[in-house]
Amino acid sequence: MFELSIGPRNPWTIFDELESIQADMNRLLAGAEAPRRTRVAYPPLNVWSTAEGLVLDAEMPGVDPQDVEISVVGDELSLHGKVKGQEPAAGETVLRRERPAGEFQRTLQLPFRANAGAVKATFKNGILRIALPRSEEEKPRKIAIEAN
Amino acid sequence: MSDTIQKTNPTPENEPVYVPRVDVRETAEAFVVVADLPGADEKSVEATVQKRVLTIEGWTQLEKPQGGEELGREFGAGRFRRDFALPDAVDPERIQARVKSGVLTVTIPKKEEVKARKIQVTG
Repeated sequence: MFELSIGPRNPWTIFDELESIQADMNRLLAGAEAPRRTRVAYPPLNVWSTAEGLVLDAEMPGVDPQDVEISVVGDELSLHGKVKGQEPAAGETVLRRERPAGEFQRTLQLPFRANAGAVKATFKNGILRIALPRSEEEKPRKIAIEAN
Repeated sequence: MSDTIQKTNPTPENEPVYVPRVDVRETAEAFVVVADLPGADEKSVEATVQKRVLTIEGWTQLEKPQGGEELGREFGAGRFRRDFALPDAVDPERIQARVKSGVLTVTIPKKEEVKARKIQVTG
């Protein structure tokens, strides 16, 4: 869930003052104090096609895997869950809040019917990986050609 | 909203750098910076303090599945960095950092002398 920054800063940004004024302007115009980009649905997904089917990576740092429900019905994958926000305790002050929190629901249409029983999910360093194999009947079959 | 901890300019780099999203909160004892760094672990993230600037930086990589062909990408990976100017009232020697589930938590304790103390009033 990274914000893509502009990359190499040009020399103008040496003028902190200028940049801070610019940031203030952007903040005013955007109506938000945190750097935000218009986002796709949560969680953002990367998708690969493999010999067995599809592999999806969902970016969800800090999410407890127990709070995520993955369901596969036919050719539909659904991700549902919540990102726990940390409520400030008594005497704590929130100075900045940019990380998303709340419930999410995302449904994807798969290009095939998945073998729901064989779906595997692993969670590592804030990335959920879901391997979705094709159902048996949708696996490509090699047809033997009979010779006379 | 107080801006005791502020984002400062990242140093110029020749490659794009991701700026991680952060939450910052202040407790009686410390400032706590929580940064989303999906894909990062304790080996790929670094927190340093120099001249009262806290820098969190590192890199992540997309793990391509074996034989996988990319169909779509909604998030990236690579270098990330974000700097924070520290207020004077903190003790840079006792900063602690911990990464778990792709989230980095940096705890910056306040100096003893600036912590609020209740003073007994005697009559």
